[in-house]
Amino acid sequence: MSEKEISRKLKRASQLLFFQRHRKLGLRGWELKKALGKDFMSIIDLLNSELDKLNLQVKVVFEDVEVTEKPSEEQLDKARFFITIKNPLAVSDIIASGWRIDDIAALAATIALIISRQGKAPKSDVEQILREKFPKWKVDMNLDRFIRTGYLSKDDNDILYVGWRARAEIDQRMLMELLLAK
Amino acid sequence: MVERKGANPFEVDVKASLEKLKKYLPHWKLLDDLLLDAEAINAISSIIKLQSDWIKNRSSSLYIDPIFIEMKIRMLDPKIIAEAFLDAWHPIISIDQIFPKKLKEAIDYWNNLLPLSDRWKEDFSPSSPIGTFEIDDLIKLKVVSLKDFDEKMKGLLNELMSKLSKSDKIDYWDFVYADTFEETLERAYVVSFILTEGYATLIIDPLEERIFIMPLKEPRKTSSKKIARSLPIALNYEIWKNLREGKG
Repeated sequence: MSEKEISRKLKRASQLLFFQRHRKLGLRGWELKKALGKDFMSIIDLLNSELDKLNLQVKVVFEDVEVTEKPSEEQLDKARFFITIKNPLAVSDIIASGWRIDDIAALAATIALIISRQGKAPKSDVEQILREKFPKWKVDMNLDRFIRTGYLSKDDNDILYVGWRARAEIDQRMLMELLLAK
Repeated sequence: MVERKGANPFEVDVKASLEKLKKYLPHWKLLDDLLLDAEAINAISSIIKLQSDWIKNRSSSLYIDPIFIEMKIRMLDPKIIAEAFLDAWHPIISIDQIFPKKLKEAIDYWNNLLPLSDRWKEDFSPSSPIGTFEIDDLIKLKVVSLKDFDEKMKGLLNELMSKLSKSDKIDYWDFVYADTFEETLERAYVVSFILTEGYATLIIDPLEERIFIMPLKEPRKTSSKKIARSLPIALNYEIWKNLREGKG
């Protein structure tokens, strides 16, 4: 691939990943492959090194399974690619972006509780624990918001799961370790 | 219940349940009783699956006793929980914006849009039923003759194939554009039939917002099970004028 071609594909990859195209953020691997060619992962790696300078990274979320070794082509096709912040933000930055500290605490408690219960928990159990610290209206409002924005998902039996967004944005292992260390 | 509540699946005594089913099985005569037994076996197999998942989860490094986590959540101040979360949180970055070109299109659309009262008058007046002009309607109205249309389609198809033999795709607007608005309209109309008949297909480059015509290796059969999608492409005098300026 010529330098010009690499540069063109880099620009294209960043446009595809930065601009919201679907209601659900991010792009599937097959969409990137279609736009960038079969060797799209080498372009993603290059983009990642460029983004690193801006404290950003390309995050790959695999479908259903946690892929630790080299992913297969099929796993990459089905995976969803996002651009996320690389190193944690300061509390002031998050608050400036519209999140309240108690909303973040509610999200953290909910996600931690679900992770500890093998990835699912009845909504009533989560509500009961959150209501010990927050009023009912706030708990209801927050859970609705977390479901709407993809941090949580809920099935017909009112069971809550870790949503696609939480899988993309939250380092689950680190969250549990940090909570236990507090 | 165990599956829904996320309770410990090892609290169910699988062995005793299976022995009970085995003990009573010879007594069942009715089909309904046997069906109930089958349902019970199915539920027990789900429990065994949950037990397997439970062991896998407990042996993973992510496992932490849920009771311990619940206790932590109950004890910790929300601010401290939030601080822990921030260190593990990497929010997604995305840009959601309207580009000037789309904004201009939206303004044009708004300016050309008749007031709702006028549109309703037109749309629901008994003299103007809602419908579309098919080629048969145009033939009936003597706007075109079938022979003329066939010839035009063959001519344009030859022109298209000759251009496509030189490159793998051509810009849709480059192809349909003609020196007059009427001719452009006619070419766009005939091209829509060429595409519907499956001689070629359209591909869209969403980034550059360009539409290309591409040849198909074999003409798509209209009866093909492959789902064909409709793509509305607006063409009015303003668009044609812009194309002309672009050419100039």
